[in-house]
Amino acid sequence: MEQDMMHLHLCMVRFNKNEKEKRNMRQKVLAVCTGVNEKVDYTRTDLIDGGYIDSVTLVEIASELMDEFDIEIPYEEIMPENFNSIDAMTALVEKYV
Amino acid sequence: MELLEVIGNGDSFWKSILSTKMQYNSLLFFVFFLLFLCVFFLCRDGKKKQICILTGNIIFYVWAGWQPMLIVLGSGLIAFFTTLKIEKIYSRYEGEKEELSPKEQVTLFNGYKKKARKHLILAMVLLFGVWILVKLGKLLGFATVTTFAAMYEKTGVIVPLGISYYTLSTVGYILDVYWRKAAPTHNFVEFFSVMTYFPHIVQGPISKYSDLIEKFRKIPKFDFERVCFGFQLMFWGYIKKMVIADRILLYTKGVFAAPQEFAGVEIFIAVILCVVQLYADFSGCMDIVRGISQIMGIELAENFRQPFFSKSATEFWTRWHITLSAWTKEYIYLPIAMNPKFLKFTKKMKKNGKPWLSSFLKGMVPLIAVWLFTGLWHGTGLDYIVWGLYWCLLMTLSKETAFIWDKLYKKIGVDTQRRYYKLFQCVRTYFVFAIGRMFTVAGSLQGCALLWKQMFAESRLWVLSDGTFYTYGLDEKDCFVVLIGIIAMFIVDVLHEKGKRIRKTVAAQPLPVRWICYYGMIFAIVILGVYGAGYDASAFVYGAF
Repeated sequence: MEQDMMHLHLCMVRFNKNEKEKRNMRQKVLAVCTGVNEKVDYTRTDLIDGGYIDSVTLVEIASELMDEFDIEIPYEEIMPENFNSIDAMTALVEKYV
Repeated sequence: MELLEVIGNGDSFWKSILSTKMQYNSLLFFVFFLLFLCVFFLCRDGKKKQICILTGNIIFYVWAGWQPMLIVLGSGLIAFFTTLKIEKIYSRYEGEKEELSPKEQVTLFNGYKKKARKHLILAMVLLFGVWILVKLGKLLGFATVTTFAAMYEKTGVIVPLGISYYTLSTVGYILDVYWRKAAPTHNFVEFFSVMTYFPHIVQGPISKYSDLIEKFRKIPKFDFERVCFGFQLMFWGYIKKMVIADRILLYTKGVFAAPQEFAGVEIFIAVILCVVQLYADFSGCMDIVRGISQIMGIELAENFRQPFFSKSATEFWTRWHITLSAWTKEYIYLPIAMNPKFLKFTKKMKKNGKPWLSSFLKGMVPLIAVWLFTGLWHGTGLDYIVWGLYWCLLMTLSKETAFIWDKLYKKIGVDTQRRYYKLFQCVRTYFVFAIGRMFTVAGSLQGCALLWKQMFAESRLWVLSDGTFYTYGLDEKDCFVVLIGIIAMFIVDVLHEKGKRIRKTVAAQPLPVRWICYYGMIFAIVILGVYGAGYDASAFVYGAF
């Protein structure tokens, strides 16, 4: 019983840590996007489909994300689904970190 | 009587039919299309419809010569088998990636991607190779021939119909499979019927094959309203092409063929009208082909969205020849801008204390590549390269100087949200396009320089008042028809811009009103269309690319 509780506690700690890391990463992604263009409303989930981010801004955001997290995002990942929202961008970055 | 004599003499009748060009604006095409539709609507099953379309494509294409068709078939086979090979390589990755961490998966995938790249490069070299050979042949002034024998004897060049369009779509399709953005089809009949689909092969729209394949798989049943809408769109396209564009051409072709004989207002009007002519010609053709396709139940991509209501050069190219802009963005601009080596290079530059140069290169290199390609796609002469660079420069300047204009407008109190300012922006777009068109419309840069020189040589305003203007190809009635045509096009564009659906509105009217509209369109084409003696359907401007 005590062992189970210990295991559960460890899982909770790990989960919280992951959540915290995720939140931090999301904050960083948001900071990168705001740095590129602060006029865009980044709470939206149709940033590309709705035309709020044009191709020039998209390129700037993607290259800044690569710089910030020191990753390489291949071209096949540059698609609307991955840049339509801050959450989608965070998930993309997580894949390559 | 003459017609009966010709029909009576069977051989010459068929010879004359077979030697007639099957262009979208020819009577021959219209007859072919009506016969095709009868068979098409008799096919109930989707597969039969696909085979019917493929047969129609082959008849349409072979009419211009069966040997160019072999080149298209070769290109189709290259694309089809390359995509299958790439898919096979990636399927091995799918089998091995299980139980690997995301990072290991990326490394494994990169290995397979490298293998797939070899096939991609080979296919691209072959497809673009044929296209470049054709372009070079045209640049070097070789005669256009339709047989391989004539190619060797006369040192001519075979120009397969629509090569500039299907090459882009085919390369795009292979790249989509390579980037795993689309799954390839395993059915060659399906692929080849999409590739050679007769409404889009001659001058676009440059379709995404993966999207079109999906539409081919779900061809809807006969729908009376859809068929009516399709015919209406077709007829509107014919009006734009045959009543407006071809009529304006009567004047502009004379001016641009011998600019030294014209001056001042004559050149100015020709430049202004050649923009309308190009718009009516190209968008008219798009309406015809989209109408044809709509009748069959296959929606083709939109190529124009009221381009002259654009507020800037950048916006203009999101509304004019949309499918070409989308293609260059997806397959040239973004891959270059996102290339890891290029990004590393600009990053290094930034670290070395040259942030301005780094940001400039990041923006300019992909843009120059796009515009050089767009220029060369339209034509191989120096005039087209300059035309491409002109647009590149304009877009860069408008982006980089935007903050200066904003400050200036605030200082002098110009409200950029007011209607007069928006109108100014639209007029500016029109003139920016007209100036760009001057680079290529006279056939060379020398011709363009001559146009500018003659425009300011003398005013010649008197030609407008003493009737001389009416002797240049457009008489008083023609000018009136052109004016009415331009107003009609403008009204239609305004209504579309406001989101109004004109055909739906017409369909909701009482029967007599509807039929007045339909007959009005048909009579406009028959009576006001430009035919002339010994009428031979005049070619579409963008068909030459």
